[in-house]
Amino acid sequence: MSTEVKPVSKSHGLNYGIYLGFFSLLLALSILASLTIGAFAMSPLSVLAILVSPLASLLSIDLSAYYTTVEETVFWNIRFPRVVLGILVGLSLAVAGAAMQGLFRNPLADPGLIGVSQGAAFAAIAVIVLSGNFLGIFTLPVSAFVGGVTTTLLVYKLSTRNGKTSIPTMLLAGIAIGTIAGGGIGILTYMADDGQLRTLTFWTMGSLASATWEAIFSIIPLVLIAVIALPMHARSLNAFLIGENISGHLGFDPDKTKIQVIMLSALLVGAAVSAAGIIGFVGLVVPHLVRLLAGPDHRIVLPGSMILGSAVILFADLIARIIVIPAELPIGIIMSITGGPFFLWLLMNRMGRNTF
Amino acid sequence: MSILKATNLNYSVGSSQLIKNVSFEVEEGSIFSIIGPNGAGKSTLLSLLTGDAKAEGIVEIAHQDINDWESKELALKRAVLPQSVSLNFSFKVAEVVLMGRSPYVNGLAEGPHDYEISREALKIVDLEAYWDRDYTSLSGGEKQRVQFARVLVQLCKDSFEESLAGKILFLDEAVANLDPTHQHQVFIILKRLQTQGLTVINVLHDLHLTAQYSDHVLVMKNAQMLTCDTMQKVMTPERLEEIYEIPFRVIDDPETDWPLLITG
Amino acid sequence: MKTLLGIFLAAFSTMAFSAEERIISLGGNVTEIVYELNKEDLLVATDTTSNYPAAAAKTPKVGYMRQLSAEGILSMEPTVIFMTTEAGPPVVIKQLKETGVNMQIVPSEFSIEGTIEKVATMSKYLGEEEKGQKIIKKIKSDMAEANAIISKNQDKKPKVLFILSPRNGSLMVSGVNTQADSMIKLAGGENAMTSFEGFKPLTPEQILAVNPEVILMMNHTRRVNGGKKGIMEHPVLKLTPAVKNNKVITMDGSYLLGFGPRVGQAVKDLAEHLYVN
Repeated sequence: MSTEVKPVSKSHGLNYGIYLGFFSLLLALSILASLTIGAFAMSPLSVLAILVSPLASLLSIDLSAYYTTVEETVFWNIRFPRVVLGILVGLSLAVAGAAMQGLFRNPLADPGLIGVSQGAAFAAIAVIVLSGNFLGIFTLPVSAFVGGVTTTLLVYKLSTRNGKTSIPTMLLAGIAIGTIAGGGIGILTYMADDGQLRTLTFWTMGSLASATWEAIFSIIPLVLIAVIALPMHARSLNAFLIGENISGHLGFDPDKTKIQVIMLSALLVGAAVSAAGIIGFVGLVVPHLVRLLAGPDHRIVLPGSMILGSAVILFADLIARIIVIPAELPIGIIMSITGGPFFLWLLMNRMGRNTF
Repeated sequence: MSILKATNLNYSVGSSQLIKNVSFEVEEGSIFSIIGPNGAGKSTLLSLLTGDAKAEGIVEIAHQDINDWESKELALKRAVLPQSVSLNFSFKVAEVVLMGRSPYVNGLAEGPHDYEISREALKIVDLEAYWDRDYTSLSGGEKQRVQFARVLVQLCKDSFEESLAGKILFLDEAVANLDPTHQHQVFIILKRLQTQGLTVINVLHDLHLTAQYSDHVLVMKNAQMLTCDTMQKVMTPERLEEIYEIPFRVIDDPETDWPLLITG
Repeated sequence: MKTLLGIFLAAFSTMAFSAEERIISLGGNVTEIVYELNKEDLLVATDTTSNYPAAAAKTPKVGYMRQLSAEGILSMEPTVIFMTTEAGPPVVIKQLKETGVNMQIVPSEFSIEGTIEKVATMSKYLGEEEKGQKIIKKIKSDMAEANAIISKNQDKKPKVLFILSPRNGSLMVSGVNTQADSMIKLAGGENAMTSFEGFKPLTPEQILAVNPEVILMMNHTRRVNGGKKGIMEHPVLKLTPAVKNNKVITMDGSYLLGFGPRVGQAVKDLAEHLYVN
């Protein structure tokens, strides 16, 4: 009997704008907290003064009375780049995870699952151990990307017959290739000298402590390309969720979607891994949270994951930085001990329904 | 006038040939059924016609090779309803139906008309109240009706009364999981759309439905086409025994204009 | 002119020191020197490898010296940071340099000369050259005693295997270019493993091929795998002359490998273990 045309109800009742606004608010909070809280005590006023001082000096206003030189250096050389790197790494890992889950029609898919992370890690470690340097500051991100793409394409080839990709074969091939890459990492670890080994350990635990402007500039182009290109596949990925063939019937090009989403995700994972090492669970937990709140439509899941991913990484990094002051923990550890149980809880909670 | 023409189709996976040398034409505005025993190659043949698999030989849709069609252009011409659709993500019923509007959406979001026609489609399949329901919580039959609504909004651009000349709907055993009420409901809707010019090509198991609703029938057996003819010429005891290798009786029912089939 | 500059510099360094110094020292050996120079009151933080003397273990920790965080260090408001070239990661060292904080980086050399240089540099900076000289003198006299023991036993050059950690059947052992390698050589022994640099796992077959006459390990390794007892009962190690002759030496890790102010004494101790007992 309810035939009067209700105002067109979007997915999950609320407008996507509200969710994006909410995620942005969280991100803003996380940025604010990350900039003002840290081992080195700075008053919010000093932080504000430092932040606006470049602008103020344009207007010939001198704010230097409100902060010390050390505070200024700490802010611009340590804290600020770290926040920027956190944003880049968080959005990259989260949106890459979201896209892969769509592509594989499996909410548990993760860049680690189909060999991207292992391939990226293998290539980056090879470059570290063999002391390769062919592209300057882009050496590490580009090799991580190449490693990720190569392994993914290999897996893709192995699991594709007559133009059709078998998802189970792809997942199994991904595990196999990931294991092979893991073996390769083992060999490289054996070849590595003490200093390199230390870099590797530092790097396999995942950390934003190495945030420098150089690291940021080296990954920004890769991240920007993917951030702009990936959301363009949102509707196509939606159709993918009901079926690869169906997405073709609906006028999308499944093969193009597949290859582009794989490349773009590998690009993002490569960038993130090269700058901050291996940080797990972001790609799994963040898209989950977005879906839980706003539904599985990629038009909200992709941008939502970007924003929420950055916020989650910044909060996790904040904990990593202040929990054992004046020392700090690798953020990978924080993500594992908070993300792991959260993920288990999700699994238990969802097991009965078998949907996400 | 033919709207679909298949010439010398061959298809194999590994060493087994699933389709051997099949050629036929489908007349525009007809309901065309593909029948045959299990494993005869019916669904494989359909996947060659929809372009899901690439055949040796030529499939022409509206006199143009299927490989030369832009995916998006083709989506405006034909829709496909598979046997079942598995979905691991909690889409709303509305969102699933709205996906049928994909070929008409330029840009990021559907417009008000897309919502209206989707709501109407749900009304047609008796699921209007399900608009906000979680698709994954529905029963198999309900899911299939939602999918039917999805293909309806893909075929009908502006309204369900518009001309559908030149458009094709493919169904792959799409009503197999429905109860008789809804099986017939689907075919009654198809019959109505046929009057608007729609061509229907469907793989069927149920011979009664085939007899009741088909204009033409193509019979597959052992990867080959046994015959392709009008429904009346296929639905004879001799033909049916040849196909299914059991005795059949075919009775002309004076109250209907389709034959009754009795096995044994 | 030169002397004038020297006086000026000396005056300047004393002046710099007379102000409230806040010291962070990174690395067990560097921290030990600070204590030997009696400057522990000025110490505001150390790293996790600074455990000797016992009081050093109780100082605030800025993390492991190879995994430092710039902000954590700066938050202690140090006026000087003592560290060896081992400290890292490089990015953090770079960040610290950019803040202009006073960093005294001493070379990390596994030698007596390197250690003496460390002591000299730090004592000079802290205006305690006299105490520094005393430490250096002690190192030299200990070394003389050690060398006396070694020269008495010149004909013997025992093959020593340093085991970092016995674990799951494979043993992490020291090759060349490690603190352990240097200590073995200083004490007159011969490193049993010379085919590689750093630390690598050793297979049971390799152990027998190497056939060490002495096994050297850190005594905290006991916690990990039964220590000396574990070695003595190890199915393969017990076939080596080292175990058969009960030549398994355990020593405190930071003492044996620290290359701090106690290095001379450690060499002497090791030499005594090798030849006297």
